Amino acid sequence: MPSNKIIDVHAHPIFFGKGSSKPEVDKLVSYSKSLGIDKMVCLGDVLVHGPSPSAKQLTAINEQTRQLLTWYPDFFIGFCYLNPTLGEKRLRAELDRCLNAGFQGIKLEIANNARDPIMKPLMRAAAHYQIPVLQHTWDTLGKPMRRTHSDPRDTCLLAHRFPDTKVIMAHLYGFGMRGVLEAQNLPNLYIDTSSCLPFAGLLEYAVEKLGPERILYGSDIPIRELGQCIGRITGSDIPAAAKTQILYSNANTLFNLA
Amino acid sequence: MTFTDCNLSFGHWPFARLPKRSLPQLVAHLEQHKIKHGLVSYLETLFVPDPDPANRELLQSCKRLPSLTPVPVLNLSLPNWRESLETYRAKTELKAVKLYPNFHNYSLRSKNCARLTEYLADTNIRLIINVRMLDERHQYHGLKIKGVSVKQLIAYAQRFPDFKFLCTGLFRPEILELADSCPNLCTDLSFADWHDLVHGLLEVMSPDRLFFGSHTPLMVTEANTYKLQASNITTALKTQIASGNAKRFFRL
Repeated sequence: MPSNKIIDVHAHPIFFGKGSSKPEVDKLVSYSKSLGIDKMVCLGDVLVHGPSPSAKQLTAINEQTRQLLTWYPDFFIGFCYLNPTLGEKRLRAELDRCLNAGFQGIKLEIANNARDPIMKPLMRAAAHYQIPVLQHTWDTLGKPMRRTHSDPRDTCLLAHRFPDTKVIMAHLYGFGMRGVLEAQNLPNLYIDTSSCLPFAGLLEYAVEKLGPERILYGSDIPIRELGQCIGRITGSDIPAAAKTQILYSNANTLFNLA
Repeated sequence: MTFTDCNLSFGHWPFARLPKRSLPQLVAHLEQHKIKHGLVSYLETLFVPDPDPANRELLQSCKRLPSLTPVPVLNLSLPNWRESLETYRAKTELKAVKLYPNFHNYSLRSKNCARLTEYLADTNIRLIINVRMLDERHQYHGLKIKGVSVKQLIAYAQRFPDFKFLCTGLFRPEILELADSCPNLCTDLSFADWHDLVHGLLEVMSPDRLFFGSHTPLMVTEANTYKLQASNITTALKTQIASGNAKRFFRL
């Protein structure tokens, strides 16, 4: 049974309103810790108000995250959920508010594509504060969704355009081998292992093409089962040291937790 | 805790870079993950019209490997399925047969499927229906095959309400949809996923209907063993799902 220390960089403890009560959060934290999870990045209830939430809705979502940080400051790491289409003024106001509350990163979902010019103020702010940006990413090849869903090509272009900002490209199992290849030669780009089912061979491929240093463990709970997400790393055919890097030490370094 | 794996394949899957293992290497791999017994089918049967030669090869090879129970695949769109089945019965103590309806292009509503069900019920041989091999969203563009529909499974289960059968490869929403209307349907957990999964499934179906399946080699074996090991249910229930149900159902 896996016994590694783990940082989960991709979690939605509250999802479509469920999981927000103190007893529910207590249960999740206790269960997660029993599996070795030391810290969990809370990305917010990102789709509860649809793909493009208003400023008020964003504040409500981020307030829920802040509540989790208040209850478990040593366990949760808060990411501020933002909608770049709302413009620089609103974006900066919400980001500053969240950073004052101890948030340590930015979460972006499907309000717009990562290649859009409106990303510029957000990425400049992220560079200014030296915080990572986690971008939802999926293989959109042949799918009519790319206006708002970022393909790995789009997220990698974002990282290429803003080399001073660390970008986490979410969902290795959603963007697949093509995304891994796009991610080569981008030292400020990380990928997370969240989402989908644990099909064999993909993590091995990612480690071979990128090295383990830019790969971060993520689950995407509650859409996924924690045991399955951990087991896909611990059971993969990569060196033990690489597993430790992916499960823990890469994120530990990224968030300056050492 | 040890496991009996009811969703196990052997051979080469051409659309991913997977570990290539001989049958003895597969046994050793399963041992590493405390899988003491596996019901295994040959992947080659999915890609050739007549699965019979590959089935016979597997039956022969497994004779020397007591921890593997070979599960022949039948293509019900071919005229020789019954003849093949009778040959397998003559050669071995056959525990189960497996269907891949959408790979072999027939429906569970077909006459041959009804005939097979009657045959299996009479001979106490179990039926495994594979619903899918991959998440349809991530299939290689050169092979796109939809999963067997819930509608078909409901129609089949309700047509033969006294015939208990096992599905492999069902997603959690599909299991939830089938749970109440098909009490004779059992499922493996390889494609089912959600936080607190097993606990949630046990709210809508009895534990005797849940089976362990790793979907090795297409999935990471440990992802599915640890999914059950780490689940928030009693040890007795884990043991039942990990191996007890399969041992009873397949009379292992």
